[in-house]
Amino acid sequence: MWRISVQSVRHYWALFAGTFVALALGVALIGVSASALAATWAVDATPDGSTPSVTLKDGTGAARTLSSGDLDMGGVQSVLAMAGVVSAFVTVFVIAGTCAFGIALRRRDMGLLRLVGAGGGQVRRMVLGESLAVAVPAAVAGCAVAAVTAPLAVEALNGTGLSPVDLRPGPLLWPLVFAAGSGLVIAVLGMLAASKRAARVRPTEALREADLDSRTMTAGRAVTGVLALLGGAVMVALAPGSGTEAATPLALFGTMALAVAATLLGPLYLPPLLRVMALPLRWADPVAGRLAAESVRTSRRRTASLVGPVLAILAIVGVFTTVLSTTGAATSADDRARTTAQLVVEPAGDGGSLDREAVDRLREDPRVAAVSAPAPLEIAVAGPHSAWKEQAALADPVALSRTHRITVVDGSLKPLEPGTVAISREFAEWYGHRAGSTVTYGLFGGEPVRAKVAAVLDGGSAVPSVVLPPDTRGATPAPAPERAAVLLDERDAASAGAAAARLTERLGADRVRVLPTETWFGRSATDQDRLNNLVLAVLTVPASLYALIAVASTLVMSYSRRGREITGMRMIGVSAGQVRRMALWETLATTTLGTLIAAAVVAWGVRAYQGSLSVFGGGAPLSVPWGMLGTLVAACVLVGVVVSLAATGRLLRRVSTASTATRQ
Amino acid sequence: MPLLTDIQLPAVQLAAVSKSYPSSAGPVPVLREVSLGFPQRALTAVMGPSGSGKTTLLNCAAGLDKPDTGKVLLGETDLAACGERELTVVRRSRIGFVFQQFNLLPMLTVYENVALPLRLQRGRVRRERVMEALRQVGLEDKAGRRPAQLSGGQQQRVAIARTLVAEPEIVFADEPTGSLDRKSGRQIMELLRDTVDRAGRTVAMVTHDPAAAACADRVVFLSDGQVVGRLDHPTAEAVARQLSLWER
Repeated sequence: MWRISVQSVRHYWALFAGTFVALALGVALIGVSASALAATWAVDATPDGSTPSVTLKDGTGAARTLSSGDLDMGGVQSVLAMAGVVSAFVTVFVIAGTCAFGIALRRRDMGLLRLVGAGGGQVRRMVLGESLAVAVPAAVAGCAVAAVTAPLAVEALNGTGLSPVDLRPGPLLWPLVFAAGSGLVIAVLGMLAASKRAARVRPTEALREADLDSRTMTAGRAVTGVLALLGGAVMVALAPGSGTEAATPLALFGTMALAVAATLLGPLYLPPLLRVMALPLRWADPVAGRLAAESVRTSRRRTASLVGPVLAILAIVGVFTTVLSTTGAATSADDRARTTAQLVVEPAGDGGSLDREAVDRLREDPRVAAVSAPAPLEIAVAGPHSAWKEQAALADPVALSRTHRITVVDGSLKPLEPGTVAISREFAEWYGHRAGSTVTYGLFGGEPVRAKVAAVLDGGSAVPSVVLPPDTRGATPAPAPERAAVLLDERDAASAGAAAARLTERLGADRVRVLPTETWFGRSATDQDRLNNLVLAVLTVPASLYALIAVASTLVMSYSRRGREITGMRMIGVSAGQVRRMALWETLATTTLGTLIAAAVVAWGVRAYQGSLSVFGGGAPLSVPWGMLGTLVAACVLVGVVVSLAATGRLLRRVSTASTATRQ
Repeated sequence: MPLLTDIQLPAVQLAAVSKSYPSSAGPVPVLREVSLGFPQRALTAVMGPSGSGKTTLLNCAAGLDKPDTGKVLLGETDLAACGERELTVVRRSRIGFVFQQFNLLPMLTVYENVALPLRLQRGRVRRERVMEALRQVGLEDKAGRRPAQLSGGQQQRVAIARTLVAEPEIVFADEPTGSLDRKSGRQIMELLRDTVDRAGRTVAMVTHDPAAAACADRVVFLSDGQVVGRLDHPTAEAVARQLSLWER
C-alpha cells in the first residue's frame, strides 16, 4: 500500500500541500520555541561563586544554598513555554482539520479501493502511509527552517529584554529532534482519526455522483466534543473561585478545551447559524449571495475546515492576550484604588534609589502626615520541601497602611519588632501561614533567621510577600527604597501640586522628582504596557502567521476540488463576476462564523477569569486588546479573500480555456 | 456462442431476494422475491425501465448491498450472510467490477490500476501478466498514463483489463456503455463478449441499450422489482420489441 500512498500524495499534491505547509511550519515553530528554551537552559544560572549566598534548611532538614547572583530565567522560560503551547495547539488543530478534510474530499477513491477488494485495514495503512509520506519531508523542511530562524529568534528575544541576560543560540540538535518527533506524532495522530473514517467508507460510495457530506457527526466526534465541552466548562466554572495563581491556567486551558469542543460539535450548531447568516446574504446579493449561502450550508465539511483555523487562532490568541492584559489592568486598578498617598517621590535620575536622609527629611516636613518607603530586596525562604527566592521589603507596616489602603487579615498592625515579619495574604494562603507561625528566611550573605509572623496584610502589590523590620541589617547590597509614597496632612491634601513643588524645593530638584500619584501611575503604566506588548508579540505573532498560512492552504485545498462545480455554473450562465462574488461571500461568511464562535468562547473563559481577580473596592476591569485582535481578524479576512479570489480566478481561466478547446 | 441451458451451473444464484428502501412514507420495495441465476461462462444482461430495480439487483448480487430476505450464492458462499471482512476477500479475488464511470483510481497509472487487485491480494505482480491484460484491451502503449489522460472508452477498457488480471468468478458491469459514444460502446461490448468466449468468464451486466443487450447470451427483463421475462440469444430488434411490449 506504501506505493499507492506515495502515488496518491503525488497526484493530490494540492490536498497534501496544505498538510505539508502546516506541518512544516508547525515543526519550525516548535523547533524555534524549543531551541530558544534550550538557550535559556544553557545559561549558567549561578554565574560564579563570588555573589553572596545563604544556606537554609528546609522542612526535611536538607541544606539548600541560594545565591543572590542566581539569574531568574523562570519568566522568559514560561513565556517561551507558553509560545510553544500556543504553537502546538494550533498545529494539532490545523493538522487534524486538513487531514480530515483531505479524506472527505477523496471518499470516492476510498470507495473504489474497497470495491476492488481493499480491506479496511489496507485503506487505513494507505492513509497512514500518506501521512508519513507528507510528514517526513515536512518535518525535515520544518527543521531546516527552524535551524535558520532559531538564531534570529534568539537575537530578537534578546532585543525584547525579556531575558535577564543575553542569550546565545544553543545547540540545535535536540530541540530539532524534539520538534521533528512531535511533528510526526501530530501528523500520525491527526491522520489516525481520519483514517478510521476512511476505512469505514462503503464500497458503494465509489458509485455516487456527488461527494455528499452525509453523517458529519459521528459518535466518536460527539463523545469527544461533549467531553471537551464538559472539561472546559468545569475548568472555566472553577476559575472565579480559585486564587489568581490557579485561575490563569484554568481559564486558559478551559478556553482551549471549549474551542476544541466548539470545533468538534460544529455539525450540530453550524447549520442553524448558517441559515441565519444566509438571510442577509440573499438580500444583499440575490444570485451570488444565494449560491454562497447554499454552498456554505451544504458542504458542511468544507465549511467546518475553513472555520477551524480561524476559530483556533482567534480563540487561543484572544484568550492569552485578554488574560494577560486583564491581569495587568486589574493590578494597576488595584494599585490605584489602594493608594491614598497624594505624592510619589522618586530619585531624579532614572533607576537610582532614595537615600535614607532624603526620606528622613520628607518625614520632618510639617505638611507631611506619613511617608512609606519600602526598600525592596530578595530573600531566600525555606519551605517544607524546598527553598526559593521571594520578594521582600524593609518597611514599616504602619506607615504603609497609612499611604495605602491595607486590610489586616490576621494578627495586629504595629511596628515590626526584630525577629518578626509581616506577610502578604497571597503568601500566607499559598504556603499556609498565619499570625504566630514561623517563617524561616535568609538574607543573602547572612545566616538563616526564624521569624514570627506578626501580621497578615492584604494590600495587593503595595505589600510584598514578606515585610521585614525597617532596621534589619546584613543584606548586601544594602537595600534602598526606589521611591516613597507621601501622604499629606489634611490641610495640604487638596493642593497636592503646590505641596509637590515645595517638597521638590526642600529636597532639591537635582536629587528628587516629586509627582502627584496620578501622574506617576500614568508614567509607570506605559512602561508596563510596553513589556506586556512584547510578551504578547512573542506569544502570538509566530502562531498567528502560522494560522494565516493554514487558512490559505485550507482554501487552496478546498478550491482544488471545485473545478467541476464552477465549470457547471459557468455553463448554466452564472457570470464570472458572480462566481467571484460567491467566493467572496463564502469566505466572509466562514471567517465571520469563526470569529463569532471564537469571540463567544473567549468571552466565556475571560469572564470567568475576570471573576477570579480582586480589585480593592470594586470588580476587576476587563481589558481586551482590541487593536491586536482586530488586526488578526482583518488579516484572516484579507488572506481568505485574496486566496479565494486567486483560486476562483484560476478555475475561471481554466473553464474558459476548456470551453474554447471544445469549440475547436 | 455456447449453448445456454438452465442445467448449466450458475456462477451467482439469487434465491427469493427482496429488498426495500426506507422512505418517509414507509419502506418502498425495490426487489420482490427475485430468483435468478447468472450462468457460468455466459454474458447475462439485465434490462428494465428506470426504477425497476436493476442496479439494486446488481448491487445485491455483487454483495455491495444486503438483501432484506433471500440468499445470494456465489458458488458455495451466501453473500447475504457474509460479514464485511469476508465480503472484502470476496471482492478482492472472486468478483470484478466495470462501471459506467469512476472505475479507476485517478492517482494511479493505468498499469498500477490494473495491477491493484494483485497488490491487494499481496501476490507478486508479474509485469507480463499485467501487460498481457492491457494488450488484450489494446492499451499496452498507455500503461504509463493516468486515467485523466484517457477517453471514457479507454478508461472502461482499463477496468476490463483489471478484471482480466484478477480472474474473478464473475464480472459485474453497470451500464458499461452508458456514457460512451456508439463506436466505443461497441468496442467495450466486443471486449466483454471476448472475455466470455475466449477467457471463459462470466459477466452480469445492467444496461438499457438494446444494442448492448443484443451481445448477451441471455436478457432478463425486470419491472417493478420482479423478473417479467427473459430472452435467450437475443437480437437488438427482439430486445427492442420486447421492451416496447413491457412498457406498454
